[in-house]
Amino acid sequence: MPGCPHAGSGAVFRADMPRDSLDKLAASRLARPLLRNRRTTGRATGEPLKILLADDDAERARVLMRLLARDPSVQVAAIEPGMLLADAVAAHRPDVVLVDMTRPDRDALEGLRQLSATRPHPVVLFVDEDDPSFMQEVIDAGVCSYNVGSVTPAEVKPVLRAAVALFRRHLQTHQALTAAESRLRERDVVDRAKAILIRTRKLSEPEAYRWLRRQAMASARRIPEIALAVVQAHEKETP
Amino acid sequence: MTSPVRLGLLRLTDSAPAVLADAEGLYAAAGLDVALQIEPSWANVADKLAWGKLDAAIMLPPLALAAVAGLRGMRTRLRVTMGISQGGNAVVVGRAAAAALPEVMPPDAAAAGRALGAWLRNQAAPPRFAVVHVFSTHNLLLRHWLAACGVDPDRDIETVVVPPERVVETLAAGQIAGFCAGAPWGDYAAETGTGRVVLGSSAIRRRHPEKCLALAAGWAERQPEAAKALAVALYRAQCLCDLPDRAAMLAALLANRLGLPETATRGALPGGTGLEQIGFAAAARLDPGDALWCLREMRRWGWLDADQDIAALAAETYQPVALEAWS
Repeated sequence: MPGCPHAGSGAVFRADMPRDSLDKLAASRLARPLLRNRRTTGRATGEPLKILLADDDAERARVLMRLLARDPSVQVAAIEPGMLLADAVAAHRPDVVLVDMTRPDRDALEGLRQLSATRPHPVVLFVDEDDPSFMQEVIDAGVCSYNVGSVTPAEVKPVLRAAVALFRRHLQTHQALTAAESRLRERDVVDRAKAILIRTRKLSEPEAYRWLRRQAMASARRIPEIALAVVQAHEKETP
Repeated sequence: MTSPVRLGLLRLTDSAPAVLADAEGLYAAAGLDVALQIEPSWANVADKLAWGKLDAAIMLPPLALAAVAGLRGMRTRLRVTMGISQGGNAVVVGRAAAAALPEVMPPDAAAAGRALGAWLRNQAAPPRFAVVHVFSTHNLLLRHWLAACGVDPDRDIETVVVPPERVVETLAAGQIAGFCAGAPWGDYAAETGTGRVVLGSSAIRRRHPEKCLALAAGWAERQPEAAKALAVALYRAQCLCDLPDRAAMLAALLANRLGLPETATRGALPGGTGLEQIGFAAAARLDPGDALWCLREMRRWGWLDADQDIAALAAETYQPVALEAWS
């Protein structure tokens, strides 16, 4: 189990799970397509592609920035907390803005040109109409990309693809954790285990709890895990 | 029906019919299984309708039209089949402007606009006003009103977009001078002493349509019966939302389900004491003329090409459902 973030994803709690798997992802296959495609498309001007990242999940943002920064032709900055998205775009002058779709201020990037006659550059949501399945993936992953000024889709797509893969992995890990947590919570598993122990072993409630705690300490596991094992064993015996 | 109808909405008072229909079992009564999806932004609603992640949504009419026209980057096939609400927005200013305005604001829009215009033109830099989306009723109404009062909305103010649930804190932080947003945020700004309400949007355009029901056209074509049943359920909910007797309960429901401030929400519902009250059932029957009003305003500000056939665009987007209840 240790070192393997996906083993027994039902009942294993690891605070470091997202960090673990995200870092691993960043270190592995994700970087490759990004680099390859960027090399072949490279900006005509020779200037780096400037990316502004708006993601309130600090951990995910850190990993994505590190991943993108591996490519020397890419420059990444993160939005300052509390700053209006439009102000951040004006201050950083990025070519691409990557936005976490759960951010309510994403609307601020829509129609920036229509909002202010003084802003010269159009800001346009990246859409690949010829690749609907990619667009579905983008929305499912919960990240989107806005082009500022003239950026070609060929430049943006690898960057967005990397972000999508990272967001998707994050989502999966998060969902696994939530599922495990809520399953334990829903069943109120510790209470159920205590009730079983009180009935089957004729223990008082404090004794039942102490029993669970002793087992947990002896096996270096958490009490809810022990409780879950008790409940599962009991369910097996009395179907 | 195999899979539930995915209906998107934002955390706003005028989402009331969609939430009440769920709470009262009106979808089930119409033979529908509806899954409400609360979205964080209008952009999410538009994207999810475009890419098949939502079947229907409570929508801003100008945004639906803009999506169909391709102003968001891609032409999206949407159908607006009914109205959801009318009125309920507020123009609010922060302390700086509030102090400079007359102690008692004139109730009519023209005089209020002239008073605000005088302050606006006195500022060194154009003061910032927030709206909730560029293609929102709020933005169109604010611009329409300011322009009618001799203010150039492109030069005398700077417009930014701030999510409705954040306008009050953004005003409090001094990042904007004022805003135009839907209920309950105008009354909430007044209630918390953050801002001063200058005008209700119904004073700009009487009984103006606010939210509408937009369907993904592909879904509506595949499920015409469900599309109609959805309108039936929402119309029944609208009739209930109009009853002042039920408003307190409805405000509590919205506070609970959408996390809205309850007192300010109650104020914007029928019989409430807020700036203005939202109308529901009266908005249900679509007037295609409203689509044309939005499109003419959008063209006026140069967002639509002059040669764009706005009548065709309105007809493509506004396809009112015909209900027996309305005949």
